[in-house]
Amino acid sequence: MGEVLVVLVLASLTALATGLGAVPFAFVSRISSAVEARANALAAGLMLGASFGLAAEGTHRGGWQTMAGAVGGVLFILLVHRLLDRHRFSFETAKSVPGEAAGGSAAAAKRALLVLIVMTAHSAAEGVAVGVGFGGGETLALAITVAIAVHNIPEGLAISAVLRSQGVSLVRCAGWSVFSSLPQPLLAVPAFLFVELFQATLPYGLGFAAGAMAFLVLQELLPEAYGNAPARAVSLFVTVSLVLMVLFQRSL
Amino acid sequence: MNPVAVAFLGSSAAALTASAGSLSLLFSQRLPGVAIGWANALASGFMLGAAYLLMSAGLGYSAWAGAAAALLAVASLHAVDRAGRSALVLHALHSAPEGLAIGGAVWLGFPFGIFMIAAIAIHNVFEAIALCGDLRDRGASVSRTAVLAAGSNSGQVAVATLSAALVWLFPFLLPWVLGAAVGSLAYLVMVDLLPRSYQEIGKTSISLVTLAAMAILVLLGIPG
Repeated sequence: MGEVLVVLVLASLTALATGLGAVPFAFVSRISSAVEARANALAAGLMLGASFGLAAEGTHRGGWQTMAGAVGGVLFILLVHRLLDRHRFSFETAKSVPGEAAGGSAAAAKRALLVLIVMTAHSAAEGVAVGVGFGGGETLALAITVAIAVHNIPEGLAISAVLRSQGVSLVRCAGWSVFSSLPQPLLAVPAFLFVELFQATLPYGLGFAAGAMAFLVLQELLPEAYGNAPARAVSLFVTVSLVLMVLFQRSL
Repeated sequence: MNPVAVAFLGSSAAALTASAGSLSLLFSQRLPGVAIGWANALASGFMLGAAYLLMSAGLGYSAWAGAAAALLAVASLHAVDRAGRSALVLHALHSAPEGLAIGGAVWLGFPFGIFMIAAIAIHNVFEAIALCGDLRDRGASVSRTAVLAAGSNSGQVAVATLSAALVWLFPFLLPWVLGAAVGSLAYLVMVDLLPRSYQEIGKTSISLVTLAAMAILVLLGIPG
C-alpha cells in the first residue's frame, strides 16, 4: 500500500508540474513559436533520455521481450492517433485550426479544445512509463518521474499559450494544463500494480513505455520543433538535454 | 589484432561499402524522394542505435567524463555548423561521429568493434543512396557517384584511426572518445539526417523506419 501511495503522489507531482507551463504568462502576454519550438526540442531530448533508460533496464531483463513491448507502445500511439484522426484531432490541427486567422471565436475555442485533447492522449503513455519505471526499481523510477515532470512543463506552456491567447485566466491555464496530465497518476498506479503482480511482464512494460515515448518524440515533438526553429537550434537543445538526462539517471 | 589496426582496416572497409549506394542508380536513374527519405531514416536509426550501444557500454567507465565529452563534441559540431554549410563542413559533420564510433568501439572488445564497423558500413550505404541521388541530379555518372560516395567517407578512416590510436597511447581517454561519439552521432542525426527525412515523406513512416532500424541494431548489439 505504501508503494502504491508513493507512485500516486509522485505521478501526481508530474501532472502538477504541467501547471508550471503557465508561469511565464505571468510576465509575458505571448510566447513566440521559436521559443515553443525550443521547448519542444528540450522535451524531446528528455523523453529520448528517459526512453534510453527504460530500454536499458528492459533489455537487461530480456531483449526480445523489451522489443515486443516497444512494438506494442508504438502500436498504442498509432491507435490513439487513428482514433483522434477519425475525429479530426491531430497535433497539426491543434496548432492551427483553419479560420482562426479570421479571428473566429468558435475556431479559437476549438483549437484550445484540440490542444487539450491531444495533450491528454499523450500523457497516457507517460503515465504507463512512470508506473513501470517504479517496477524497475527506485533509481529508474525517480529518473523517469523527474524526466516526465520536466518534460511536462513545455507541454503546459503549449496549452497555456493557446488558452491565454483566448483570454483565459492564469489560474485556469494552469488548471487545464494539470488536467491534461491527469492520465499520468491515473495510469501510473495500475501499470505499477500490473508489473508488480506479474514480474515477467516488466520488460514488456518497460519496452512499451520506451517505444511509445520514442515514437512520440519522432512523430510529433521533433517535426513540430523543426517547423518553427532552425535544425541546428533544435539539434543543440535535443542533444544537450539528452546527454544531461542520461547523466542524471546515471548519477542517482 | 591491435585495435588501432582494426579501426583502420574496418573504417576503410566501411568507407568503401558506401560506393554500394550508387548501385541503386542502376535500377532508377533518378531516385524518388520516398527512397531518399527512407534511406536517411534508416541511416538515422542506425546512428541512434549505435549511440545507444556506445553509451550503454561507455557508462561503465566514467559517466561524467563521457557526458563532458559528449557536450564538448556537440558544442564543437554546432560551432562548425554555424560557420556555414559548405561541402567541407558537411564532410566534417559526417566523418567525425562515425569515425569516433569506430575508434571507441574497437576498444570495447573485438566482437563489439566488428559489430560497430558493420553497423557504420550499412549506415554508409543508406547515407550514400541519398548522396548518390543528389550527385546524379547534378549530372555525375554512376561510376563517379560510387567513387565520390566512398571518398566522402575518407575522413571517417582518419578520425577512426586517430581516435583509436589516442586511446592506445592514453587509455584514460576511452570514456572521452565514447562520449564524443555518442554526442556527435546524436547531433548529426538531429541536425541533418532527420530534417532531410521529414522533408521527403510523412513523419509517421519516417518515425517507424527510424525506430525499426534503431531497434534492430540495439537488439543485435546487446551482449548475451
